[in-house]
Amino acid sequence: MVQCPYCKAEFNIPEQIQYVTCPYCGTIFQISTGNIKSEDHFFYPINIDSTLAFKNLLSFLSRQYGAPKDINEASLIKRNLHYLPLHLYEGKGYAKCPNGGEVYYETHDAFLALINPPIPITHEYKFPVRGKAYFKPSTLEYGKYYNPEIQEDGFNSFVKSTVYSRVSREIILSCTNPQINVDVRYEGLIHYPFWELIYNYNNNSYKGIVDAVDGIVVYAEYPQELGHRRIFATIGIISIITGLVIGSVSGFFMNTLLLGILGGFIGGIASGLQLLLRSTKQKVKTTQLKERMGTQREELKDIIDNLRKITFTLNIGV
Amino acid sequence: MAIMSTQVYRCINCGGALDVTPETIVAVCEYCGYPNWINESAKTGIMIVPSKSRDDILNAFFNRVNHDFDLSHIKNEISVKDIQGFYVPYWIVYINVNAHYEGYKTEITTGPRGQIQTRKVHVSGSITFSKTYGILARRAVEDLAVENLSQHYIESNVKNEIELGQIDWSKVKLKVLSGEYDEKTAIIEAKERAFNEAKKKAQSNVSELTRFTCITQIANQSKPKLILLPYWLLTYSYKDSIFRFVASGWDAKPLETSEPVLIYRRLLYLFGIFSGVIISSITSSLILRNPPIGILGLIAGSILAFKSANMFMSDVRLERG
Repeated sequence: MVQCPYCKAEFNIPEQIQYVTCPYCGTIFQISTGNIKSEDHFFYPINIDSTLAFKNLLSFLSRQYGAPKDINEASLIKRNLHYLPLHLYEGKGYAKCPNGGEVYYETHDAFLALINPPIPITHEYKFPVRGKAYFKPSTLEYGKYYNPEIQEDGFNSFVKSTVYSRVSREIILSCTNPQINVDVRYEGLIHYPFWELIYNYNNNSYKGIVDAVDGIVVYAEYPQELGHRRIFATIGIISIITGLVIGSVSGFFMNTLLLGILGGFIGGIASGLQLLLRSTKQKVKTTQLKERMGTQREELKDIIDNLRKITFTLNIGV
Repeated sequence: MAIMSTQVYRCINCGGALDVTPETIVAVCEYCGYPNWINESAKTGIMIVPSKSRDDILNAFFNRVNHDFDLSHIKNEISVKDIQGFYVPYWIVYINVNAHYEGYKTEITTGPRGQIQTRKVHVSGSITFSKTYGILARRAVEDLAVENLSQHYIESNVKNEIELGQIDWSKVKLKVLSGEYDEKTAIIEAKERAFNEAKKKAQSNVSELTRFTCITQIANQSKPKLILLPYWLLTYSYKDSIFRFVASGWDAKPLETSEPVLIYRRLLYLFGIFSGVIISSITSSLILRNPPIGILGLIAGSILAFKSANMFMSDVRLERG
């Protein structure tokens, strides 16, 4: 039981909490406890309740190519709210050469502070732009809080070596005796909420993980319809056969039969393999995270640049 | 500075409770719009760009729907679920870059008997440019089109930005996100981007980069400025699925949209699969006769086939604008 220093209201909070927002007057204050440095522990409050999270999951699943048309009628059989601890780090690198060349690098990374996370979340998670705040007691309804299993300095050397290798790789082109400074600072602990939803479809259960701050589906499993599996398999096989046939015909006419067959096989496998692999799966795993990332403007340019490099290298080889 | 009695953060102007996290350097009061500097040493002027209304964003969305090849076909089945706008803080930094590079370029020539000869040529040069960078003043975040927003702001040359104190706060309906990066951090980030850009330019001039020296500086007499840009996120549904649309607030320009993959798109991807396979099969037979075209065709065909198959199975398309 804690008391708000401003309005004197009393309310319950879990032990691990360092900061709290009074549910009555909105005042934020610190509860002096524990070994985590003050000002370094905060939370993302849940914006999405379990009903909305499940709705998001189903609407995400219903747009999957290959998911059953009536996936929307799946029923929720279990829900858990996990507040997972993440360590935040700031890494700064600076390198300078006597000739004036310099390199800067700065990174802010969050790492999951659990050895065996209860739900499949990547160790490096990016947050949505909105929503960071102090803990509110209303978020306690279903939440399970996890204490960090990995120490504060657990990822220090990892961040340090990442920053160091990044900076040194860049500066080495400028001079051979650079002065390199790398500084890594622990920024604090954050508890981030995820919904773990288990749903039932045709007597089988499937899992979905939804970000409880912005409702993005982080991870989802769904059953794949037999009809779609057949489509994927058929297209996959046809594309490989097409490659082999056209490759051997064109190779035959140009007196390079083997090269033709090989090239056709490579092209066929490039498209066919993933289609065939997909067709073998009864349960498909997917994520909505790429929708948060958006399109990368540079992507196509990079592909073309790399293509050009490859051909140059090959040319030198030839 | 915000009033801090018994660690309560309240607006110095109106006494309203502030949305403050340990990382916040400035919190703009959501009741009166007063900027409360939590980190006094980081204090600077804040600019704000007035936003168009919710209806303007809605119009921009339907305009996009009507003019988009895919969306216009399903416009009767689209309904808007939610529209949210908020102010996102960015640092605008002006950087001068001076770089020098050395490396090798591979030249391809055809010999007297038609044979292909390659030789390495030593090249060097300088790269100088000045550029404005928009650095998101919040950490470890990622959201649809958040990066494009500042880019669009810089490119669109907005003239109606005003000082935070001069805006009529009763008309601002958007939530303001707190700034978390100070000026120093923003400068480092901008310098890093400028460096990478210069290096990329250098790499495109050579086939092998052997030496690269770069000096990045803040342009003379330009002080980085903190600016609040309006960002709008709209979610819409088609059949039972949800998709998103992002627009910039000052001109209601669509920045990024996620769209359903319709049946004729899938047919197009199917066409892409087989075109890719055919291109790679035919061009690979040419490898001995004309190596550059043969190898390039094989790789390009395979990539086309791979990407098309990947998109054929995908659930969403992201489209810029």
